[in-house]
Amino acid sequence: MAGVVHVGILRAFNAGTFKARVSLTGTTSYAQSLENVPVNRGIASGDMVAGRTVAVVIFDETKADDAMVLGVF
Amino acid sequence: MRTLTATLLAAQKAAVNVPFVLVKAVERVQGHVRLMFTESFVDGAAPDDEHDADFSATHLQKVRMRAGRPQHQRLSAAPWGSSTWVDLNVFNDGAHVSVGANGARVIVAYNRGNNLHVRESTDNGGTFGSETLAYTGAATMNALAIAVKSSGDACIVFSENNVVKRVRRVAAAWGAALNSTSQPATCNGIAVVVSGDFHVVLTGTEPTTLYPTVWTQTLGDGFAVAVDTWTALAIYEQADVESTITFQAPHLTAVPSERMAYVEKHAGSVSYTRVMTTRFPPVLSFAANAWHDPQPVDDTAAQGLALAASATLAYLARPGRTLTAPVTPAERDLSADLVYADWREDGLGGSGRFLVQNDGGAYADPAGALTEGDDLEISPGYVTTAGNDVSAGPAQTIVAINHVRDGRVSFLEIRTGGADHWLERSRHRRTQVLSGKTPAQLVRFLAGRAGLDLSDAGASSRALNYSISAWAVHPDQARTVAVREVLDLVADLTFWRSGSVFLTEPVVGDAVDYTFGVDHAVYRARTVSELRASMMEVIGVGHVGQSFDFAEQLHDRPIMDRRRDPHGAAASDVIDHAAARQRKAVLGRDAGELVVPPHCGIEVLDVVEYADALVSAANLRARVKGVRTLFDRRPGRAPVYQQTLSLGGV
Repeated sequence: MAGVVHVGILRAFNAGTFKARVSLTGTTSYAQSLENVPVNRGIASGDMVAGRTVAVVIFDETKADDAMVLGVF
Repeated sequence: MRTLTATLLAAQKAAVNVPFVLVKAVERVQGHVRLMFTESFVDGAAPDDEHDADFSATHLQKVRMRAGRPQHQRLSAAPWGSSTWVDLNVFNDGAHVSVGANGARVIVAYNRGNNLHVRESTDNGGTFGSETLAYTGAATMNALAIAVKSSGDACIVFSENNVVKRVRRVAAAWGAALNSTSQPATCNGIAVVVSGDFHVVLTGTEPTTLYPTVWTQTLGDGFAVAVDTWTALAIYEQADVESTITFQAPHLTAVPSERMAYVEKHAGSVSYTRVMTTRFPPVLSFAANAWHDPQPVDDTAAQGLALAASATLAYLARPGRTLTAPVTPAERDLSADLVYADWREDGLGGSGRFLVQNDGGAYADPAGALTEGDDLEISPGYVTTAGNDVSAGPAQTIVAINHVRDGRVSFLEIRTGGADHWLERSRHRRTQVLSGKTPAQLVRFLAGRAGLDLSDAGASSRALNYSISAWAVHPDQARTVAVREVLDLVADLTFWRSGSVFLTEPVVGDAVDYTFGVDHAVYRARTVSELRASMMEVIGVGHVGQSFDFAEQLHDRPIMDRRRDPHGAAASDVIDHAAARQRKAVLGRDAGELVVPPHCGIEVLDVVEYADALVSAANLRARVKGVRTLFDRRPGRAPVYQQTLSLGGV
């Protein structure tokens, strides 16, 4: 299944596991976050500030953590 | 296959027969009565106090908490509201109030400080007995609700300092409180009804995450759940902790079927306070949590709208407003004017086109029972010695109503859709992750959100027992996609009967339901034999599952089917998944089609045999994948009444 890229809001980031909690936009006012989404190791931990916008690729949409945060901006 | 009467069975086999199709528009939406609420009473000056309502044998009972004092009014006729309230005590130390009614008995429950009190009427709220202490509390009451049984026993569910408890009255004596075994972090609203067990709705925040949430829960009364057993909280709606959404003021009714209302508040931009309602499939148990998607009501009261119903009317009520809707669906029989019908059925899909003669202008202003979104009940049959004999067929949804005029001829054209019509138009409002659900539970939940009843009818062991740790659904997915993604995991398929969807596992050993070609004519047959995928591989998390059909592969040019399964965490998961895909390949193959005089009870997934000596000496066996029935008696055309069965593997 082809991955789909979504825009999201970074809710929390764990620098130890390099995983994030992310809400996909379009549902941000009313969303359940995706928990434990792996984060691109190329991103500096210091840039992963809650509230920033992230690009998330979801490989299989039926599994919340079958995804990766590609970038933050 | 639906069971047919002997006369209908004989008629559909007869060399000469007279077709009859019963087509009826019913004011239901996929089996649920469509409640068309209209405003009956409004008092714009009434404060938005906490309130409740219920219907006793003869009166709508309304209560409110006005400036700390519980007040009551009862109403026996339109406009079902009044600006006159009767105080139930002389104090001003209350905050929460609820009313429960059963027959002529009405009990109003309210707090006074930390304590719970009730007042009871046995004459439909005409007079009340003195105040009775039901529970002596030690901390702040956050919310309460009461339900009354026909025996006079009652149950108050309440939240004391955010701990949910119940206190029951049995044989006229209030007993000790019992804490719920599944608690929210905070609770700001409770509703309860008795419907076999006590069904509860809570609003508040979730432990640990503090997500604002609407839950359902059952307190057992010996029906589906043991007496005084609390089930786990089941999430209906939930918002992110960072969101500015909160939920409050839940209300619940059990008649005509279970419906819930609550208030959703958004403090962000643009802020809103909105009453939302939802309904529950009447055929499912409460534990299925198969509520329809929330629907907004044209009301912005922070204390929401209470739900109640009599034998004839459903009510949405608050102190300053009452809305009513008839609970008996209107019907309109179109059969006499029906000149053309062409409808298709498959697992979740369906469509139809119907022409009704409108030369006399009888359908000039289709109203009431002829409305887009309503059910069109379609029942194929024949004119028999017993009269017009039919078998109740599918209830499709009216998706369009067109008037077609050609010179002096006028037709009403009705177009219909199947279960997929609602699934395609239904999407989650938000991303939701469902934990620990089986495929059957997921499909039931997703179908319920689209307003469809979905039940098990011989579902597979994997569908019923394979627990998926976390299944995500997103707002960009149509529910057709979400449902098919779940069904892709199992060997089960769906079929549609009278407005309900059934999940079943077609197995190789299924008996033959009907044989064509012997005494039931076959107009035309097409028998297909084609290669299908027979080498299945499923790549899970650290495991590869395989399934082969060596006979089908011909040992030379197998067709491979490979896919990734991120949920397949155990070896058995991916092996079972591969086996399910193998089975689906068998069922999904094209085995041809039969064109026959309509069989009035044939259904998708039935196993049929047919005789064609020029193809095979033995009867050919196939499974029905789809049914198309055509009825045409338009003037000036050759009459047609025939059925095309699309066939697949058994």
